[in-house]
Amino acid sequence: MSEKTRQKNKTTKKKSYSEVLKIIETIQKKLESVETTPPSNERLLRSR
Amino acid sequence: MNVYYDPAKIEKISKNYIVLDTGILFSCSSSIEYFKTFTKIFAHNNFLIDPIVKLEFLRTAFIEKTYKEKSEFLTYERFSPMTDHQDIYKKVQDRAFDIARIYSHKGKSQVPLGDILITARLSLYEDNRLFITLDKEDYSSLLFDRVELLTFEKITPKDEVLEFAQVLRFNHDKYKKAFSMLP
Repeated sequence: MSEKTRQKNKTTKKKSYSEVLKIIETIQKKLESVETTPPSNERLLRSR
Repeated sequence: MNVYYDPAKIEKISKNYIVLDTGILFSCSSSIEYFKTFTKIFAHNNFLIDPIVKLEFLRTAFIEKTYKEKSEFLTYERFSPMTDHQDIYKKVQDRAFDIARIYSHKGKSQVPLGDILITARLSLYEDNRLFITLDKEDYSSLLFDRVELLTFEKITPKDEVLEFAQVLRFNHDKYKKAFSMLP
């Protein structure tokens, strides 16, 4: 591990509860969009 | 979200550190409701992240942005990485060989390597560290005591899922007994 990476790891700021909620919101939205995205035409054709 | 558990049992373990398994991290990181509920139930506990769990959690984030978000999620102020250095790593590795032998002789040779390494690290500590997992197969009463079982009722417009989380304590006496019985 380089000195630069080591320093970066040392200074990683801890996230508060509200900050983490925002991150989860982003992840959750992405997952929901994947789950609700209808299969593309290409995938439909391949599944035939 | 409804969760079924015994608050008195959770109160009893409120001073313990809890090591989170990968499934719990997945559930917490992908649902605000789950995260809020989970952190409220364990309001007084601090959580530990095993290096193997961290690897399992991040390995599925193949998109760089998702990797960054999941890495940031792990920097939550109530999460702490478990201490890891050469000496501990050597102890974990040695213990993992013994645990793998015990599992093998008990017909559990299919327990994944990651779960053996997580169990090995848990075995290095005394009673104040607990482990919470959704995994029902690979963490059994062979080496652990079940402290509490929580049932999370996840209801979505499409589905209704019951998720079981077990809080476990590594039992050193069970380990010593099982180890002494090896041929």
